[in-house]
Amino acid sequence: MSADLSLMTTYGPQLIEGFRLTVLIWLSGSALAVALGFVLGLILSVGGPALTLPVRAYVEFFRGTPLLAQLFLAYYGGPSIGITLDAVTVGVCGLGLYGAAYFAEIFRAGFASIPEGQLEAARSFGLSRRKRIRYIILPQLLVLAVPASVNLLIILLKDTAILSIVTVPELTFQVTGMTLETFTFVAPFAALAALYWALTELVAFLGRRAELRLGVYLRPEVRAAG
Amino acid sequence: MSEGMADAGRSLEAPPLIEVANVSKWFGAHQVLSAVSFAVRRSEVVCIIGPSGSGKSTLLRCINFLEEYQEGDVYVRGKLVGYANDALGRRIRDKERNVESLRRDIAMVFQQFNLWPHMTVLDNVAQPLILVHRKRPREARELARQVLGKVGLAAKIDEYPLRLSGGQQQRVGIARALAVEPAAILFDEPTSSLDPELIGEVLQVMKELAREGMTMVIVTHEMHFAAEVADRVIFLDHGVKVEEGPPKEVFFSPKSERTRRFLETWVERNSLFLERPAGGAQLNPAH
Repeated sequence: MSADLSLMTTYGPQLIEGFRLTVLIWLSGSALAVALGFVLGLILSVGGPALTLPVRAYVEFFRGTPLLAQLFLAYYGGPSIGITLDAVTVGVCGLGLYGAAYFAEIFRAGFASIPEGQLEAARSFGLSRRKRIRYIILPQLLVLAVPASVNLLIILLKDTAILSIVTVPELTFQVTGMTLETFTFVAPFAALAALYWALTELVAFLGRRAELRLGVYLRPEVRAAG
Repeated sequence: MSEGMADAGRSLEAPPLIEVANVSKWFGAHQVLSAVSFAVRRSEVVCIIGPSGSGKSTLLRCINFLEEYQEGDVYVRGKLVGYANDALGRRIRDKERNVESLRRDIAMVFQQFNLWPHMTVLDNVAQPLILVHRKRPREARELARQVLGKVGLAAKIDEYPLRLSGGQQQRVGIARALAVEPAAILFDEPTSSLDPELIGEVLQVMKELAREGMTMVIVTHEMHFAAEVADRVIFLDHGVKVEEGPPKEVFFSPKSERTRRFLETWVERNSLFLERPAGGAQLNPAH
């Protein structure tokens, strides 16, 4: 027990720093992923072939190759084409570009799931295409996308652990370093897992709240008679 | 709404509001409409009847260009719908802007209601006014409130559509159409997806509109309603207009054998006209 406490005082600051960085990279990477994925998803939904083909290629590449391979390419391959980035930047961008491919698919699928009849009604009232997208599709798309998005945010949160391999000093990196120095493995990694789990549960909880709140119009709980 | 009783005295000489001339349409190799022609004048109620798959809905949807037609002309207020002529006189697709502008004038009510579920009932009615007719939100919502009151839904304005019964949803659909003060309303089987006990409330609202002189083109299977409300009935079969005339003629002395057979199967199922004397006075339109 006393050994554990001394470990905490020795490694505490590093672990806290690692935790802070994990959350920071996850939030920035996710923001990039959502924003880029939203734009890419819209292009896949409404763009002409000149736009959709490159976007499709982008999505297929980032979905079809391991995140780790992408990170190695950026971190170690970058300098050979004149792009030298620090590890944290590679981490944020890597996570963002990777997540964007999945978000693009989430938004594309949500876009396609708006019933045709609703859009037809909007057309019949003279709403332009732009207004149909803005006022009929997007508000519903953002609600429909919540469950899949929360799922993906959780995956991205856990994937920040992979960034330790390209020397991003996030939580997993710190814990790994600590285990190598102290030769204790089970307890630190168990604590690490518990910490990720707690974080993902929090995200899942907030996601369920958002889903209930935003999707209030979808639940016919007060069905009026006749 | 916009057309009061004063307009009800209709004149056969007035140019038709809607004119469909020799319209043909194919889905791939399958011809769904074959040179169909008819006209609708202001304040007229025209019902289109016929078996399933006869092209009724497709025909209706050509009027506001939700469907493209390949041959013939559709005119609304004398203006060709959906097409224009290029410098060489060839027919080309009209600009989307022009089609949208036409649609401002012709509202539509759908079989599946097609309300926007993320908007309240009030906004379903108000948003077309705001987004298309450039009304101020406050003014649009006030107007929407009035129209919803007219269809008996004043108490439901803050509900979401999915929380209403089918009949209520369809009345919202009608209010949405009515609020834009259209020149005509197209009804695409407005009661076909309703439970039988909810059909009456929707038909009641439609009868009221007809009485007020609203121009209506109605695709329907409600023969009783068509007989009572329509000025003219068109019978469509396999994309061909088989018969057109006042309901009295079409229902009681159809010229074509095909119409007679269609009505017989309907009468057998509903035994409605069996109870009525032929040519009953009720068949004259109420207005």
